[in-house]
Order: sequence, then C-alpha cells, then structure tokens
Amino acid sequence: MTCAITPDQVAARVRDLPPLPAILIELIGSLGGDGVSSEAVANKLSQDLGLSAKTLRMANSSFFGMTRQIGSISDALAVLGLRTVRTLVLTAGLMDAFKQTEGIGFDFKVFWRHAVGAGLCGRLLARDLGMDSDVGFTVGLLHDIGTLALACLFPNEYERTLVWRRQNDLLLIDAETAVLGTDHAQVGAVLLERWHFSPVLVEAIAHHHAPAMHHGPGLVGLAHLSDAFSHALALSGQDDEVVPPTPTEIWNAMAPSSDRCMALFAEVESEFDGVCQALQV
Amino acid sequence: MSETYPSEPVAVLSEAQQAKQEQVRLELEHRFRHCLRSGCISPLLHLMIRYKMRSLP
Repeated sequence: MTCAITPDQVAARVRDLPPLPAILIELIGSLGGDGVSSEAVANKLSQDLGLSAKTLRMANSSFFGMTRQIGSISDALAVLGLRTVRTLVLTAGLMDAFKQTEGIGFDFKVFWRHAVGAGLCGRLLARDLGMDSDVGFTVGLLHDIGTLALACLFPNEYERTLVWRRQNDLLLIDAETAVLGTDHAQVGAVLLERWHFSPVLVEAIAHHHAPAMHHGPGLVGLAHLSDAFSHALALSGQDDEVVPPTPTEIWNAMAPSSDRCMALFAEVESEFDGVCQALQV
Repeated sequence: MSETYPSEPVAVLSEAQQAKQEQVRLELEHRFRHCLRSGCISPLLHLMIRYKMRSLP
C-alpha cells in the first residue's frame, strides 16, 4: 500500500510553487506584532485588486456585523483596525495559494470549512489563554495546510491515502504515515518555512498532532486544540470526522473549563456560517 | 379503580429536525465507536457529546 514520498521530493515540489505576493510575505513577517503601517498595507493592497476585493467581502460579512458598507481598504483599516485587516488579507491570500483542482479526489470545501472552524476556535482559545487572537486564528486556519499541499502536489498518492483512511477509519495523519511515509504536519512546516512564517508558527504546525509539555503551553498546544475542537464540532461537513486525542497534560494546562468549553462551542457555531459565506467555502 | 393522568406533552419534530437529530446521532455514534476501537479517549469528546445532546431539538 505504501508509495513513500521522500523529504527531498516534498522540498522540491514546494520550492516549485509560485511565490506568494509581496504584501503577504510582508504581513506574515509582521504577524504577532505591529511592524507594518496601515499606509503601507493600503498602498500595497491597492495594487492587487483580487486580494482587495476578497478582503473587502470578508470585512463586509455578517461576522463583523457592520451597520454600513466598508468600501475601501483604507475604510476597513479605519473601522476594523490594522491587526484585523492583516488577518483578513492573509486569510484571503493564503486561501488562493492552492487553486481548486477538479478530479483529484480531494474535497477543498471540506478542507477549508474545517480550517475556518479551527481558525475560529484558535481565536477564542487564544483570547482565553491570554495569547494573540490573530495569531490564534492564523495557526488554526493553517494547521492542516500540509494536507492541501500533499493533495495538490501528489494527487494520485494522496487519493490512495484518503481511500485507505476511509476503509480503515483512521485519523488522517495515521493514514498518511502508513501510505506516504510522511504526513501533513511535516509538509505544512516545510511550506510555512518557505512562506517565511516565524519559527514558532512553523513549530506549531509541525507538532500539532503530537503536542508535548516540553513545547510549553503555547502555540503548539493551541494549534492542536484548535484542530481537535473543530473536529469535535464536526464543522467540515465530512460524515466520518473523528476527534484526535489530546494528551492529558496539554488538556490540563490549556483547555478551558467545562462551562467555558460549552460557551466556546456555541460561539464558534454561531460565527461559523457567516465566515464561511464570506470566504465562499 | 383506575385513574387517568394527563399525558406528557410530546414535542413534535419537523422532518428537518428529525433529520438533524439523526445526523448528530450518527456522527456521535461513529466517533464513539472510533474512540473505543482506537483507545483514544478524549475529554473533549465527552464535552462535545454533552453539548450536542443539549442542543438537540
């Protein structure tokens, strides 16, 4: 059943991907801080009409509940603030990094709905934990980006992985390891390095299926919990979703109380459809 | 001597509500079976089952 993909093959195909737009690289570099100005974002975005339009559509979604139309990026920056707009631009831009390809047996909609769910969970969990909620959203949104990379860069091998997973009712990562000899966490980390994400974010993606306390109660655990919460809520629409196990020490150190979990589930469910609608997933 | 009691009010679910209920039941059953088979017990799954049961019509 195995059709092993070597790290060299992954690295070579990731290297061949088209580079991200310059504005995204700049925003990625500034994530978690304030090292970019509103003027610079507005100027650079004005040169990318597709990205601007998508950002504005999200800014005008029911998620933000604006009482008036946001008509321009400058307007969005004034109303929503730089940090929120940065998250919107990154979301819009990174979702375009892999174009939907027909006939590869991979459901893009299921993928992005799970990712958006994890982004919303990541944002709320980060807020509860006193972490940066924009980084929380981003780490949730991107935690499985390696899945998308594998499905697009190695479509035949990945299709076999999905069949194997379904036949044996496995966690996706276990099916990938069995069939491909690699997994989406490793590939996601390679991709995020290529996109110049910070080492802590790369580490979070690399270890989100095996978080351990030596990572500290930080981004690795947050990426893991975002993923687990989104799977638990079954937001993707896939009928055989399963919940990855959370190590006890991570649960004890980072999970909210039972009551807070209930409130968080409800909050994510109430926001989810509006965000998916805005992102057209 | 027999006594008659007022019957409990029974909520009548619409077809959509019944379908939703059935979908949630199947989802939870699948996860629970996966959990037992894999030995991966998750406190999150327990909370989610409580949440989903509470929000059913």
